[in-house]
Amino acid sequence: MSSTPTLAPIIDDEALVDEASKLDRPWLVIVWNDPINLMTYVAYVFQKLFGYSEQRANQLMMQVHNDGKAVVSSGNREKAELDVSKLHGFGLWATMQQSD
Amino acid sequence: MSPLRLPFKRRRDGLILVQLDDHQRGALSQLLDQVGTLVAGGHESSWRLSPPTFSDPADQAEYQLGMSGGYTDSTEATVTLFADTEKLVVNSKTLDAPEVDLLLAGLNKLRLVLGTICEVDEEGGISDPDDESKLTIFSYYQFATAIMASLLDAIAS
Repeated sequence: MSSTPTLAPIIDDEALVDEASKLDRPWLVIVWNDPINLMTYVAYVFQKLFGYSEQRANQLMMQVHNDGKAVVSSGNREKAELDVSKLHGFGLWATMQQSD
Repeated sequence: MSPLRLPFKRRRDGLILVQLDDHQRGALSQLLDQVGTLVAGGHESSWRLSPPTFSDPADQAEYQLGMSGGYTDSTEATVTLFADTEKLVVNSKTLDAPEVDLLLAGLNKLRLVLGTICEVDEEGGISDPDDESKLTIFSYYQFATAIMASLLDAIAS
């Protein structure tokens, strides 16, 4: 049996607080503009997957088209992963990232 | 002169009537079959079918470490989607809502591969219009686009 004394680490409160706050921050699902997906199709997918109204879906689609990207949903990591996977299933270029 | 027949039309009961002619069904079937073979063989254009999940490359690398066979699964799913889409294209007289979604997803992934091969640009043209093989692929892409746009029009009507 080892007789090495156990040294207590110096606790860095800030690091733990940072990690805790990282867990709290929601994940954002972003759809990116691409030259192939049809605008009407993108809006259709938003309505279908997220239940958005036609107006909201078109608004988000135009944001993707004009700004190059739009946040289309948010939530915990599991939900975001599922949303990204569904968007990929329809052929949209979607990624997720944690909000700042 | 015969009136122009749209490939799809919404019926009063909500179903989508498929009015593709034999030539259109045959051409789409061939395209789905051939592009499915390309994807199954790992053609370089297939990258477009498997975008990264995470915006941050470090998060993506960590995510991929935890996944086994992710790319292979995605390829198999696309090949299956193309085969299912082909069956709908060849046989369907009408489409219900799940079949509409399947056909849209299949046609769109077909367009993604074709559009990636011929390098469709932001204006909807291609970067190298003098390349004959790319022009040919672009004509297939435009055909698939017209069919898909007609289906979207029918859904919205």
